[in-house]
Amino acid sequence: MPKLPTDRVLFGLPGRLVFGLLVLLAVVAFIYSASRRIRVLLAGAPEPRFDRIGTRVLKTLEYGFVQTRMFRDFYAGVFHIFIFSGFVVLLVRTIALVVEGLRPGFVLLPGTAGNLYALAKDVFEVLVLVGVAMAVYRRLFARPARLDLTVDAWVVLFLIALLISADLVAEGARLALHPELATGWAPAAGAIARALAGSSPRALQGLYEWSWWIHLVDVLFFANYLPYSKHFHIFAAIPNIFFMKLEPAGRLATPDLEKVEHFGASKVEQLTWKSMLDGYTCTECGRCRVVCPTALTGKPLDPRLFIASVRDAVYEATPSILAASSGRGNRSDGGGRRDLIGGWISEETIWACTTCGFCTTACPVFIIPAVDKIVEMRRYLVLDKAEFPKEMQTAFRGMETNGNPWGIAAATRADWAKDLPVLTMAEAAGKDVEVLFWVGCAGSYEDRAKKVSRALVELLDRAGVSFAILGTEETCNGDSARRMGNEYLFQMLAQQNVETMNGYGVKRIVTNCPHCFNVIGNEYPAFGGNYEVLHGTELVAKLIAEGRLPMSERIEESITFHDPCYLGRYNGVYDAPRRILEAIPGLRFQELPRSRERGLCCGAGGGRMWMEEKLGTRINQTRMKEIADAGTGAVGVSCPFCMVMLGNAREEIGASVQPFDVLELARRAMGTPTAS
Amino acid sequence: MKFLVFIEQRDGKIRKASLEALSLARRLAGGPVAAVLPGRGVTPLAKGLGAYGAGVVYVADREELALYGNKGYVGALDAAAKKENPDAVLIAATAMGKDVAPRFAARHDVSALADVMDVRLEGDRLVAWRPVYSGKARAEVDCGSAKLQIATTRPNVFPAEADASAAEPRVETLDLGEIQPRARVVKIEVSESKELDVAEADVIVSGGRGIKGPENWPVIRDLQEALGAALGASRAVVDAGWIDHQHQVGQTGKVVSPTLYVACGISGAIQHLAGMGTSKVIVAINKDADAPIFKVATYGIAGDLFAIVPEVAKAVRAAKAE
Repeated sequence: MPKLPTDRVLFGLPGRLVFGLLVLLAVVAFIYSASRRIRVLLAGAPEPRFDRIGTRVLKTLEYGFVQTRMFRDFYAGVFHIFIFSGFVVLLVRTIALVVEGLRPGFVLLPGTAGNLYALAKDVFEVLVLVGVAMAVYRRLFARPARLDLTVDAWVVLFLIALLISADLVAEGARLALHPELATGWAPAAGAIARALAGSSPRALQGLYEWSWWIHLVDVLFFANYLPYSKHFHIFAAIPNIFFMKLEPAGRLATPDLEKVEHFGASKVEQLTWKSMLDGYTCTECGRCRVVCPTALTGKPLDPRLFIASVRDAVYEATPSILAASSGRGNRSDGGGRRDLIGGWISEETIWACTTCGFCTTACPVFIIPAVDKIVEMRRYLVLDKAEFPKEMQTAFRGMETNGNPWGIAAATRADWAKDLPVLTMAEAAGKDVEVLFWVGCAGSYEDRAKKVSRALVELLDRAGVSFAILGTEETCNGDSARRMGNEYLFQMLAQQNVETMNGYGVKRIVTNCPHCFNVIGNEYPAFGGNYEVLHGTELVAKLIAEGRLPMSERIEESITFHDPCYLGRYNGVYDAPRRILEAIPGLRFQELPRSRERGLCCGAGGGRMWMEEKLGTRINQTRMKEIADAGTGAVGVSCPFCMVMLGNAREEIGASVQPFDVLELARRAMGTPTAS
Repeated sequence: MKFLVFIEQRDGKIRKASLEALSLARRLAGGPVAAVLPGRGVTPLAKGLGAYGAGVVYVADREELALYGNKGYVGALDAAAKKENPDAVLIAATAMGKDVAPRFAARHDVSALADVMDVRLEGDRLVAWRPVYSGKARAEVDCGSAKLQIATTRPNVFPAEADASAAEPRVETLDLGEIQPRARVVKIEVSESKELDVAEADVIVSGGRGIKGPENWPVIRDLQEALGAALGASRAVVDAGWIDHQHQVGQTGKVVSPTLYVACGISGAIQHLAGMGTSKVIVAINKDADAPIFKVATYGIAGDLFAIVPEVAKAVRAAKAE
């Protein structure tokens, strides 16, 4: 029977008592730290995240345990899964060691199960060490731009390497001391034992005991270090994935304006518990930072820093939140605290976001859309404080008085269709209308987009689709208003549109604006508007596939495609525009380096279309340079705002690549119908 | 029906807007009306008001009235009103007029019709139109049954009609007694920048991408100076760094509504139209005859701005010299 490290007398006390006290201290300290973190969450604003448990479990398995998103960076994915799986396996080992230290003779798993576990433990310990080595190499030599090389990370890597090595050495020394215990199921520890063979039993016993103590003290310290480190994700990530946003990404929360007492979020206390958990979860991996169009163009918004600021604000507020929730102190007393807005997070940061959603899809642990939080803060700035970039007022007033952000007379909304055989829903009363063509503000007023509206009308006519428009009864869908924080205006517009459409019994809608597409499809259901919404490219691709639209004219051109955020990333429509481009004879299609879910924003989303871009370099020029570098003669777009942004950038940087709406090209390829 | 018109002058020059109000009053009254002229050294100006409709001019010519102060100026109007006992008072809706009118109305416990664009008489009642909702609608307003009716008239809307054959007005000096202002204007400092602010200018000359480069601003500046206008610019040239953002007209720049807007080399993207579409007269000079700016333009010249703009500037200077 080997002599246990706790059999010795330490500091004049029985070793087991010392160990017991140490474990007790560590457990109490951990419970103290963790309960503070949890009690803050419980004091957070409500957010319903307990529905669809089955789906949540499946998502947790996929993203929390198999970690599919981590493997988008293969190197990082590999070493992370090594360390992660090692920790899961070692959890059992650690519990067994603690119990053995307190109750000699304890055997966790007897027989073959024990041997199998010993093998697993041994192999995974080696994998963790390999993982740590890979991480060290990355931090020392590869140094990807997304990482901040913090001391915290080095501390954690050191603690992990130490606790694993100590365990391997302890086991090796133990086996060298008691060769009769060797089963051959622990190759790594066995190898260490062979290397140590021949040392004096006294030295081996000393090595065993020191390593054993180092390992367990490291484990107990590590657990207590985590709640104060960015590596708290070890505890927070899996719950955070479980509580992910399951609603469509493009759907923002709809507050009941009759009931709310304050608009949006301006204080830590107004953040939802999930927003706080997001802060706990962020490991500062920086995957969001390297894809964010504002961070890439030198603006103050860096999503990683944004989430870290939210977290630090929560940590700073923790004592006063806890004092308030236990009735010792005034909740609103923020003595000595920095304000969340203006202090931790600047207003410039809040207004910089294009709501492109790239950060959200890049995050491996589903930290909630920075977009949702930023819009909450914009709501506060617009509705509570009325402080926002002054040029937004023009757009707000335009939407309010004339139903379009440019403020052009509402009465002229249908003028683009004056000379076309297009019926309004009112005129089509009694006729069979398959689909409502939702034109949108740009499609109604903006010169280029008007041509695209025309193209869609001609395509639908040719395919024999019966459709109608709302004409002057249509008004702005409200996307910009909502994402600029003017929730009042958005709800007013949404209610008005839903009322109009429900009045006509609308079931199916086609629109060529991805912003209208997203809002009507994802956000109008909250206002009682439930429709099947198709993007223009979806309907046209379908009509081509059904043979109802012959693509007969050749267009000899090389082309690439710029994915609109609200069509692609938010709603998963990637293939329809590509299928149209591929169906047009003569077009040679080629992907951009950043395409589909990795497509870069044009800079107009989130109401940025209506704001000045004064900080850093221009997003639209950055994207247009990338498009020009692809070397094609044309670029397909499918959003009127992308068209404006890229068209401007083209002139500004003097690029030759021509932007075309996919539907314009389809219209050209359809040729002129022969008189029948 | 008896009218009294408040005449505004600054630095010894009578404001055109006041002459417009005076002409309007004569037209409504069907003959000469009364006017009140406060200021310092303004007595010689009184005679000239006859041509625009003044039958009698009440002059308050005092050292203390050198600079505008509401106590003295409103006091002068009040003193004239006591003598004349008018049925209606007209005041130009300038910065000064917008300060005088409400104070005067409050003293008499009546309301004022603010910033009107059209006035007619129904019996002895003034009935006026005024724009509301940024010009989207017009409201018809009157003063109810008030004995004293007051209206401020929007500048540049009513014609100032000089009748050279009109008789010289009678000039009466007002005795204001001692003026004890609660606040005194010590001096007026004109902002150092000589550049007119586009947001407030009555005439704007704007340049767009068509000017080809910042070195060509002098071409636009020439016309701007000839017209005494402010300089505007499209977003494209501001973004390109050819000129400061304060000149930007459009959706995300200044939203303007001048009497005259001259767009040189601006295609008229919707972002730009959103900022100037409500201008009263729009003149577009652009080489692309299909440019959308021509759809909103009152007058359009399709051609090379480098040939046309200097000619227009020359013609403006010649017309002004006459």
